[in-house]
Amino acid sequence: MKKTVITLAAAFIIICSAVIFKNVYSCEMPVKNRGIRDAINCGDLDVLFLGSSTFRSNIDMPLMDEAYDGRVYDISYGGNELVATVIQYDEIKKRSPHDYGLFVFELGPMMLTQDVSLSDSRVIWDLSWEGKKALWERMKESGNTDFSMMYEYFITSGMDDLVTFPVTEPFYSTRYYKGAKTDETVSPGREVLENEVFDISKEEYVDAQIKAVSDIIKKCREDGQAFVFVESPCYRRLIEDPKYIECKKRYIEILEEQDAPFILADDVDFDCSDPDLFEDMNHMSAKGRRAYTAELIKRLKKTEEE
Amino acid sequence: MSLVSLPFLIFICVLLILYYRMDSRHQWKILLLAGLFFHAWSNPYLIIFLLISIISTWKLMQNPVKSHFIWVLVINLGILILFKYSVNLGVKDLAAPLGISYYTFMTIGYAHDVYDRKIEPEKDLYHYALFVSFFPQMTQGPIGVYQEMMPQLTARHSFDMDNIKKGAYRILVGIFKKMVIAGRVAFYVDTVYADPGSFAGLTLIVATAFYLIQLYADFSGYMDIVCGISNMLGIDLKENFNRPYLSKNIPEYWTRWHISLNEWYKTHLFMPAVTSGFNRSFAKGLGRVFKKAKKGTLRLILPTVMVWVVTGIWHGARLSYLGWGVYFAIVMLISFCTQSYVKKLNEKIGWNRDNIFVKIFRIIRTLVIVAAGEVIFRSERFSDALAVFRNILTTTRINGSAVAAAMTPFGNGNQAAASMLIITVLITAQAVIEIAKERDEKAFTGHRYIYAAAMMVTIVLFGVSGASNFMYQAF
Amino acid sequence: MEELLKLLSDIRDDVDFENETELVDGKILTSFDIIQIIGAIDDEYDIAIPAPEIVPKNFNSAEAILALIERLKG
Repeated sequence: MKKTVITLAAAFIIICSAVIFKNVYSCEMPVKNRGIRDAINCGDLDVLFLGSSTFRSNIDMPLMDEAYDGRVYDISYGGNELVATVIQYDEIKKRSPHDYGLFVFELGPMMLTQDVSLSDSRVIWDLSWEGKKALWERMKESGNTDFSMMYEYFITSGMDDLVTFPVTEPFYSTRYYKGAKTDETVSPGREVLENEVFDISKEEYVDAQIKAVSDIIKKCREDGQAFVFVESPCYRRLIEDPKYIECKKRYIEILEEQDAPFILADDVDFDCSDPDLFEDMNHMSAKGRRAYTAELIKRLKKTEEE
Repeated sequence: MSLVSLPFLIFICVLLILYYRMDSRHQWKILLLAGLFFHAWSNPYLIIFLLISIISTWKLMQNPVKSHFIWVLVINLGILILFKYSVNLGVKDLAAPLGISYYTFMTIGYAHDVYDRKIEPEKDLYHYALFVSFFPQMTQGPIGVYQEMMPQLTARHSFDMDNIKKGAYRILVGIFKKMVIAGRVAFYVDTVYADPGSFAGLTLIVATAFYLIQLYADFSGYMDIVCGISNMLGIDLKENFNRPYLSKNIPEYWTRWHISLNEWYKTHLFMPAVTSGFNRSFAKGLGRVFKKAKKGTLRLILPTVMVWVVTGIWHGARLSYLGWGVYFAIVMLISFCTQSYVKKLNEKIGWNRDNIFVKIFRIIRTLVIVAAGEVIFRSERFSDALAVFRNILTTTRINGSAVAAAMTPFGNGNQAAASMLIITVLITAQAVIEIAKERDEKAFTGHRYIYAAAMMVTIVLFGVSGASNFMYQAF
Repeated sequence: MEELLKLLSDIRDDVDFENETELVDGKILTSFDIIQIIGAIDDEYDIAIPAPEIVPKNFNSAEAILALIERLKG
């Protein structure tokens, strides 16, 4: 009997330690080349991107480095949505003692239709315990949480990475530089892009996301933080999709209501119908991201002067 | 109710308390009630079919004449076919009574043994009912044999902490295999097999290997839970798996995989078919054509084909199941018919079966043949299975990008490497735990406590009960 | 008996049929061996062994098999 009790107690203690450690200290783990902690360690920055995998693949860091003397960073997560972005912004402002010249948020029209959810376990990995709780509260408010989701959120999400950290971290970190992907991706060709199946016609607005846009603007203004919303160009078929256009219009409405600055894909000299520049509907190939970044820099510098 | 759920946990706790508190003469009655309750929980109306089967079979077999036996077959198989193949008759969504495939087989096994005068008919209706409705084996077996189970079921069981510990450990192993191993690789396998044609050879090989692991971990894990529960009740169920992936040839494989089912087929379908008049004539007829054939081999042909076709469609009304059955029928037949030639060939080339490399070769060869069969089983359409074989043969490369591509079906691109690493470690751990289990079956030795703790931690921190709640969203 | 032993060793030449008494219980013969024995007996003596007679007791030794054959012949 004694052995059984000891076994159960030992298991319990190990489980609790792992869970507590992950929830409280994951944000302090020495993750290189990406994420909030690494960004903060870079000190004062002129430009800080905050978005989804679109920003992760479509920004060419070496070019940005050149233009801004290395004072740039790209914080991005797969499927990152606006409610999470608000919390990420709060987190950065709370933890970082540094100044940020310009916050660049992602004007992703379809983000207005995303569920408030966890798209990438890296999102909560980077957040402090308070941030994790805040995001969970937002998810609960949107009403689609249950026990198994909570279990995954707080207990199992990211455990794989935590346990294999010494081995997998060196592997992952080589694929990023200041948060942007460094892969030399290529286009799969016109055929593939023209025939890739996607259907966004049934997407509907999620109120929490619409509100989140306004939240971002309000918070930046309260903090006296300069910001701009940037729409990253996507492949012709997506950018011409009626649903995409409708959501973009709505997004612009919200921004114009509050006099928020934004840069659309059109405002930049970039050919969305050139298949060579894209890997899929919204992620650019290496060639595309270099072309885009060069033009984006020009536009950003112009905005600064204004 | 699912075996890994809160209602079931409560059910088991209540059952154990009642079981060991009461007079041991009446324990079997509690088991009977528990079995009926368990069956009714999933759907209270369908228990009527279980009761029809129990009562009619028991009554008819009290007088084991041929006409009664045929009635038993008609009633039981009729109900089974009605539910299993209702889709083919155009009736959709007909929920089947819990465990109907399994308890039907147990019923027919009992009736056949009584008819053959191997055993006396059971005089007590309630004892018979307990045999059919014993709940641990209701959903997925093992298929119990009446004469082996009855003495244990009706015996008196005194409380023994060792049984509880042994049972609990076994349940833990089962949950570990099901939730941690099978649950994890399932996601990978499902992703790849949803559209196999679009994946490269290396990814398909990994997915197929994972599928073999998933099948074993899921099924044998479930058996571990079932046997563990029975252990806690003081009852030993027969093993359904015996290191199947270490088999050296296909016939051996089928004596190590889903043992209770294959033994049932052997006793109640295969042997009767072999000794039947029709088969006898058929074999003699063939013998006149193939004069040199070994005397017993011709008798195996028809029964083998029959058993394997039945096995295939027993899994369900899908063409890939039938294809799987036919595949293994052909493999088994080739195995029998070429036995003597292979033996002569081995002698000629000096093939020593005791040599370790020869053993390894034979094991891998067996796995490849089994894997091919399982590809057919798993594929939604036959064209998918062909795509798998074609891609494996033509597009398998071992280089950086192929390896990277092979990791992506783990869903979230970011986590892929970590998941791959973890699953490899876990599968190794499972192998260690299984081998240890075999070695010290009798005693509950010290290092089992360490394994138990490790498994508990792993189940809680790495367990998966279905797809991830957080799917990567494209935008 | 001589005939029977020859028939049996044709099927399994690595088994000592003359002396073994645990052919089935000792897991020396597999079920496929049994089936081949049944087939061989049928072809040789024209005896169909019915299913209920296929029990370990009848096949555990050459003597038992011979006794079975005698019983079914007569």
